[in-house]
Amino acid sequence: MEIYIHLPFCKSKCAYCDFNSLSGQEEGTVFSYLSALNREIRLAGDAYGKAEISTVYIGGGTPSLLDSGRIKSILKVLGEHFRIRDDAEISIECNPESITSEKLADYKEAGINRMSIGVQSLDDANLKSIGRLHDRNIAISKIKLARQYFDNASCDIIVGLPYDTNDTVKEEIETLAPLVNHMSVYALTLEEGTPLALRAEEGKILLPSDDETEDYLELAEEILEKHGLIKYEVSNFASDGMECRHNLGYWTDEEYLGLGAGAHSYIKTSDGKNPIPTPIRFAHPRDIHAYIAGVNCANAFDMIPRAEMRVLDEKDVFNEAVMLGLRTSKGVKSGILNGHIPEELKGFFKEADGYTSLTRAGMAVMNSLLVRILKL
Amino acid sequence: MNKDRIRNFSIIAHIDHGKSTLADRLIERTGTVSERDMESQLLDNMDIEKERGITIKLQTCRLYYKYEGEEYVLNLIDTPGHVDFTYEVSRSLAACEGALLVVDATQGVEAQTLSNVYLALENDLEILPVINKIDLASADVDAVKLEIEDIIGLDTDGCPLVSAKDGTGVDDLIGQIIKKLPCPDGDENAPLKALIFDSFYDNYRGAISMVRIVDGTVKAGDRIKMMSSGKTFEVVEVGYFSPHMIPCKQISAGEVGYIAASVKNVSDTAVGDTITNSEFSAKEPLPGYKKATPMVYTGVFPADGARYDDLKEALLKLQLNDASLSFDPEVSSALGFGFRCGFLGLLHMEIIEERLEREFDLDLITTAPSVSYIVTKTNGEKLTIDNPTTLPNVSEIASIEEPMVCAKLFTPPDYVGPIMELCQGKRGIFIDMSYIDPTRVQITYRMPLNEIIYDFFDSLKSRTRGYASLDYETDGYEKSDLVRLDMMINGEICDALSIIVHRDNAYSRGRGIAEKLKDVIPRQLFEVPIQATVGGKIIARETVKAMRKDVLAKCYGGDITRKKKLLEKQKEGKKRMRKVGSVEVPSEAFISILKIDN
Repeated sequence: MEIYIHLPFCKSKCAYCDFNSLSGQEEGTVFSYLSALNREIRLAGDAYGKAEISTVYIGGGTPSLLDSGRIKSILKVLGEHFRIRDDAEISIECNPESITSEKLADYKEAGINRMSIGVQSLDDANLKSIGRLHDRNIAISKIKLARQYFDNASCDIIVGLPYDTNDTVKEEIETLAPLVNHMSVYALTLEEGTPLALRAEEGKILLPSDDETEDYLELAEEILEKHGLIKYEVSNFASDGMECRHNLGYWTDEEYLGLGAGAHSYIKTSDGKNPIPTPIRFAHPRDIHAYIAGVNCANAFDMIPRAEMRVLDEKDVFNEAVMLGLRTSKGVKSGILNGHIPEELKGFFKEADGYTSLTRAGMAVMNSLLVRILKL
Repeated sequence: MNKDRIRNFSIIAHIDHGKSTLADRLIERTGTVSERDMESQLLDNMDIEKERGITIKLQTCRLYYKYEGEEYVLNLIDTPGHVDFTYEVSRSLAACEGALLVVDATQGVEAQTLSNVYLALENDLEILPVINKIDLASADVDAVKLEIEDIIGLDTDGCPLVSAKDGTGVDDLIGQIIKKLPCPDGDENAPLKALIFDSFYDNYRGAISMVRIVDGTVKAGDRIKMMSSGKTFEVVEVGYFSPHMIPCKQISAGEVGYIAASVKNVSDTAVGDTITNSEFSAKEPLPGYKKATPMVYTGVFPADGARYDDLKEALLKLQLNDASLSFDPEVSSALGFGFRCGFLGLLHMEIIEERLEREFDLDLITTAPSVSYIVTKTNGEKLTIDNPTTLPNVSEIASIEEPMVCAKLFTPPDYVGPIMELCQGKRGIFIDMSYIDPTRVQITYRMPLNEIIYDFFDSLKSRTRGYASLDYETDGYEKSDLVRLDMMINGEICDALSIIVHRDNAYSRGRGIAEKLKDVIPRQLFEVPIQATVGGKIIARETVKAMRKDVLAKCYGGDITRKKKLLEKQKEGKKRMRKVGSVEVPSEAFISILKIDN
């Protein structure tokens, strides 16, 4: 089983972000939230404590914004209520400006062994336009600093930003690739209602076209491969053995518990060990106050309010196996797609070692392929 | 009722000259509708009529008015003003002795003013000119009077000058209606002769005939006979409109009213038929009307193929009240099952489509409008073709004839140049031009109807800033060098996009449509060529490039539900797409080709 912990606090909200994150929260709210999280960990432990935890991922928000003592105590409580494997992958998301040597040392002491750093771009004009708090120099120096403490470090990059060109993308990937052993390269998604989407609608910023963005992605992929960072998922690249086990779990049917406001869980057992007849997906309320109140009233994990919940039927199980599995370079077991791929789409798929996976072009247009294949 | 006290009259006018407002004032002034219930354009029942400010269906209303101590019954029949609905006008005129010719004091005589006058004269009606909108600052009563005398030849001495808007002159108008328009004649003791000038379907009472009683009397309980079919029915109710249906004991010679006789099918109350008494029968029916023939045809398909039956049901219902609408099943390989519908004109088409969408909640895809061609095959066989897809192979065609119209355009002299340019560009043949007065010119062209139904109105409006008016009537058929223009999407002909065009226009139309399609067809997983072809020869080509990117970059924190919802939405969007071969074409593509400006 995997555990995801959500810390929804940021110093300021980025222009493209529609994740569950908040800025400018009072200390009291943060304290109440962490107390509720603490309580949830205990309740979850009561329910699923038999499970062996293979990965922990602390995401946000900006977890590195919090005092590192608080991260230590979260992991301490987690360790008291769950059986965390000795070789567990324990990741934390950080933003460059909030990384310090002290925090890094504390993280290491708390058992964290993987850093995911939100760089997004090395172009200062881009960074400014999307409201990031760091610049190019801070990003590079903080990655180097993090590497002094952690072998396993990743950075996130967004392409398709307002000032991206072939040259800037090439330069930033070439600069970053030698510094990390894992990189996530995302194409910018304009989420409805975000300040960036609004500015784009009003014509105040000009974004690269889909074709240009796809050019950047191809370019990034090429450079990363040269540096030994091989694509293992739609947006993820890693050197051999450094794939993010936690995220891979999402694509490969691993059971996971999401703790914190708006966190998503995928449950396949009644207690972390004994299977239930049909898997369940559910999520906590996104609103932190609703979450806090909900946890504080609950006497058991399954009494914490759920904003959404779905018991998966046979169709869902098939759909998810396909849509998630095909995100990975390995693909899905060949049998599963037998008879489901229309003749004219076969060129987008390839077969190897008993697995069916998407070609590069296929992966880029995966949604269009999925709507033809899934039982929606 | 004493016939001397009855006046049956219509109001005729060019569109927008104020018929319906004048009808409102008459209804109001005679106290037919209490002030509380008064709403504007009272006789325009349909939402579309009220919104667009036009009359589509004729309507009748009985008004009572005391004049010089005597009570009079005025039967008013409001008529549509648009050229598409000339047919409706001619029907209502046959039920009257007189007509009010309403002319806008700021506009003067327009194209349909004239055509309506001719209709009234054909029906031997007494015409009373009425000059409306005299309250407007730009009103020029003397000039308009002169126009009416010069162009139409009607005496305007002492004619009513009114403002339907504020009610000025309406009392005088009513007096003149009584004084100047003749009362009906006819013999109430003779055998019943009732002319059906309209019929409609009522959910409770069946098909109801709107009639003008020419001779005799009819009351509930009478057995009546339809003279065309010989079918007999028992009268359940007779009455009149005021403006709602009001039952009465009997209606007799000279009166206008309705007859309800539990008739199940509207086809049994055919417009133009004569109703008589089944025992005490008239020998000869009244002269009827010629049947309205559709001029414009288009394929109408439900956007959601599963709603074919709903569309059929809706068309049947509309046809009950609109005999000029015709439809036959049509199958398109791109659009599936639908109907080939025939309309009186473009406005009629637009209105039917809008009513189908609004009153029956249907989403429609319509194909480009077509006219009806006469094709002579090399073996001598003659075919009538109103659907481009049914045009025989080029090798089998000896000749194609297309319907022509005689178009009359009224315009200020400034726009003569642009209008002639437009008509010439639409293959028009100049017939005549004359100055009505220094400010107005009448231009006559003989033109293919095919060109009129393709953006002619819009072009005319934009070139003359709305100052020109158009009227046309059919004018036989003419041999012409016509070809079918097909659009191929990914190598397959999309039947719903085929049109018949003049050979000289094929290239520009083909290129225009190909460019438009390239814009509206979304990028697919494969590159999609779009080609315009005539007789197998490719005359234009565009390409929709293959899609390169359609993937959700991130599924944050294991939120799978959101990704699934996005895919479901995408799938839902696909349902609204039409398949042409393996290519998904959005419904808008079919509609967009109707809106290409040359």
